[in-house]
Amino acid sequence: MAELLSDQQYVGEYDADTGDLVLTGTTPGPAGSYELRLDMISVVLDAADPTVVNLITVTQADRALGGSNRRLLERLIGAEASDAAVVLLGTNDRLRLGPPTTGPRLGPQLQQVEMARVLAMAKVVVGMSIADDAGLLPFERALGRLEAFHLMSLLDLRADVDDWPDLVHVAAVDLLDLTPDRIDPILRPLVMVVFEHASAVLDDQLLAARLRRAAATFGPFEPEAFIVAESRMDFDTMARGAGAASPAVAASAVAASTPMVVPAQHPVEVAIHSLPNLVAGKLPSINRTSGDEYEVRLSDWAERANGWWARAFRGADAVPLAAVPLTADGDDAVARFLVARSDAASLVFDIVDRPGESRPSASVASLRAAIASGKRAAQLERLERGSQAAQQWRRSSELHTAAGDEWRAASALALAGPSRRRRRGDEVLVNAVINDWVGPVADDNQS
Amino acid sequence: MLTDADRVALWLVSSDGMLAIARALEQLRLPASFDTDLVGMVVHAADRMVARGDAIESIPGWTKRTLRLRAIDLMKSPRGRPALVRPEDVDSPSVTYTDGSGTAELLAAMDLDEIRRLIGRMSGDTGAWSRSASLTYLSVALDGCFPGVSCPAPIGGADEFDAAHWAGLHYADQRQCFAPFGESDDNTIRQRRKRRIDDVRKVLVEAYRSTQGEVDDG
Repeated sequence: MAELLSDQQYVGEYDADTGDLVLTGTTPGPAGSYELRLDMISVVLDAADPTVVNLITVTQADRALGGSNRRLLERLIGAEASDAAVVLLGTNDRLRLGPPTTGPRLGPQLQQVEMARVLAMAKVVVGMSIADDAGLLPFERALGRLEAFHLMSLLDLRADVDDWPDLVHVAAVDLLDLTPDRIDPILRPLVMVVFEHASAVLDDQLLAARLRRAAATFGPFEPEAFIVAESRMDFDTMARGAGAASPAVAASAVAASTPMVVPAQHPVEVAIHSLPNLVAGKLPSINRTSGDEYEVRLSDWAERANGWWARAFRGADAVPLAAVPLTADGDDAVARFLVARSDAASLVFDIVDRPGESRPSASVASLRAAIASGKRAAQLERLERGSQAAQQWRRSSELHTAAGDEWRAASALALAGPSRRRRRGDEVLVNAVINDWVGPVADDNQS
Repeated sequence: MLTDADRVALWLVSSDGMLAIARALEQLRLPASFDTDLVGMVVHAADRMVARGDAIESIPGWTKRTLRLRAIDLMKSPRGRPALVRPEDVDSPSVTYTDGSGTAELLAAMDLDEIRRLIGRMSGDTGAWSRSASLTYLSVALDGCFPGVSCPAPIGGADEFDAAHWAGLHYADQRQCFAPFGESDDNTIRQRRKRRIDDVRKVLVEAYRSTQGEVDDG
């Protein structure tokens, strides 16, 4: 096996209306999918197990597979399956592709180098996908992309990325502003390695030299520290060792900046599709600060929530009552708005990045939250925090039930059970990506 | 005359369209009850295409692909998008709307909930602040909300609706429309505030006209 994706079966289908070739692998599980687009080919992997392919789509396949995308498809799924897929072009047939039976995709029967290749590709897709998520700071996004670019370079995928030089350059420039004080000391070796790797994939040698100089500010490179960090030791232990603020200290800091609060007369509901909940399981505090004025506050998220909007709706009929931008108040993101007392009995708030976007139905909101919980669970598994991961799988299961998706609810519950860990223990896991450590979810997990 | 968005909506209710919706859901094993949401997302995407002036070459092709992409989006995390253009340095050309003495009568005749819904549905990457200010304006001018202590208020020669506009600008984070605390407004600030209030009035008038069934002549 020389392909970048694991050996599995697909159902291939060509759609004459769209001109797209769709190879369906498995159904996305309770954590949904990660997606990477390479030229005209989109690769969708299962978030609960990124060695499994949900879907491969070749857009405008007639044209795309006449050129370099044919070689890319071969690299992804192998020459035999690729040839079979190309036969479908221009037909209305559906065809089963891949090995005749679905055996273990990864395991001792595969060579180490083959396993490493599939895992590296999975890590690329996971890393690039997470780096595109809402709520990441520019330097976090740049770290995620550059880590993935380095792996893509190793996998010889440079030519398959549109505008590779520009993308790498922009990400590298975003990193130049990063100073060590913004990174937990225990994670600095990891960040330093990304800097070093990034400098290796840059075409601009001047910028590469600047990155190497910037990397040096993160301390002397200590291979042992890097190996320890990369070996995914327990994050809590590391954080404590690095002198992270204790919960008591954090609580007192919050109390000092709390504004005057008028007791809310009615409970306030925060919609589960709110961005802070989707990207990090975080909910804002909401207080009534005067007769009709309310304040939404996201502690320590002034930068992450830049450009986001808080909206208030009347709960009964979803009439929009306010939509105000979140602005920085020190390190916090804050929005204040007015709601008449007559409407205060059933207020629903959400936080979005486009104030004009429509509110999702309750089912879709639940599905989005369920997928987000599943993704957090998968992330916690990559960080080897099994008990917290199990909690998130259970939460995901509840939300899938609320969305009316019993199949994913049952799947999530199965993943929360002890059998998950035993089964996974025999398999090869995708390593954590840099944004598992440095990003909004990691922030939330530390609290 | 039908727009491309209308054609997309019509195709979605055809037998081919219904099959495509079912197929998109089935491919990801999503409950059939998600069909309405999925259709809503596709129609919204078509509306945006029309608003941008982009033509849809093949209605079945575009719609089937968009159905597939929107369904896959449900399986993904929300993506980071560039923040909307904030208006600090973007002043629109001055447009004067006369508030006049009829404002109170006009407001009294409004279907307030419908106007709020229309403002909430207005999209576009610019002008989000003016829609924000419009909603706050309605809360103060019609619902009688009292702004918080940090909200600036006009003194002398101003009517009740001016105060509502000031509150709208304040809560929409239009700080550049007011002098810093302890200082007086200069002419530049007053002119800027006036232009912004005109923008808010424009949003309100558009929304009001829509509730009256008038065609927006842009």
